[in-house]
Amino acid sequence: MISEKVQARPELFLFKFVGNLQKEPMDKNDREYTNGDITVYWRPNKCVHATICYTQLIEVFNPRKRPWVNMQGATNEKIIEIVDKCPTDALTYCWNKDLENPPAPREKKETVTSEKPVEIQIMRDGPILVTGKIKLTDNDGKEYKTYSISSFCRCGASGNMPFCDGMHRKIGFEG
Amino acid sequence: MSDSSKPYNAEFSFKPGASLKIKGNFILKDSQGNIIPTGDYIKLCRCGKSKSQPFCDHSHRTA
Ligand code: SF4
Ligand code: FES
Ligand code: FES
Repeated sequence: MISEKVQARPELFLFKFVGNLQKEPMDKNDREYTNGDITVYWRPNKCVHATICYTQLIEVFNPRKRPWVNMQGATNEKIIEIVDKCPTDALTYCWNKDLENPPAPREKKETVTSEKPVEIQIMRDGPILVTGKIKLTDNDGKEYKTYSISSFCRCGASGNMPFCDGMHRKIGFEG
Repeated sequence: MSDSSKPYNAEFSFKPGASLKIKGNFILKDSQGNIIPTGDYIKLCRCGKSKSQPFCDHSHRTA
């Protein structure tokens, strides 16, 4: 399922294959969760704490619970819808039947790299999510490396300024 | 390199404890996904204290 937001601004997204998901080296923190039909892959080091997953489907994605992904919490369709909304590869999924057969190539939205305007999305109770090509400097003129998606702390509590490190959730930031 | 086109579309800069300044070609959206009309220069709050979120209202100065 394609989210409304993507439909509304299709020019902001390109598509790329993640069909070779299984070949990507696993990080020791990576996790898999399955309900028998689909498997959700969680790569914490790719997460930009955009908060989309747990603000939109807390029944499945609840960072306060262990395991934090409850595959019984919603239908396959709903889980896939939210996984597709994750702006990074932190959350991806695969149909289990495709794991046995040669995996069908799947598509996931990725950010543009062209002259499109930079998209600055305020996340509720969370960071500033920035998609596009930017230059980032501090007041001393030091330049920071940026990626096609960055999330900037808005709550004031991050330990990795200027980026969000997920602390907004711990301090209960509202805004 | 003689290419005059910039490799980025917007410039972000910040000062510890103060706002995030953004200049260039960008679209700002609120948490509902609605576009907030802006000029080509904005200052977004990074301290969490602004009364006019998401913009900086200089509340960061009053600790
Ligand atoms: S980046 Fe993906 S996994 Fe991380 S909080 Fe956002 S939606 Fe969830
Ligand atoms: S907004 Fe995420 S750590 Fe501040
Ligand atoms: S950074 Fe200026 S009010 Fe928060």
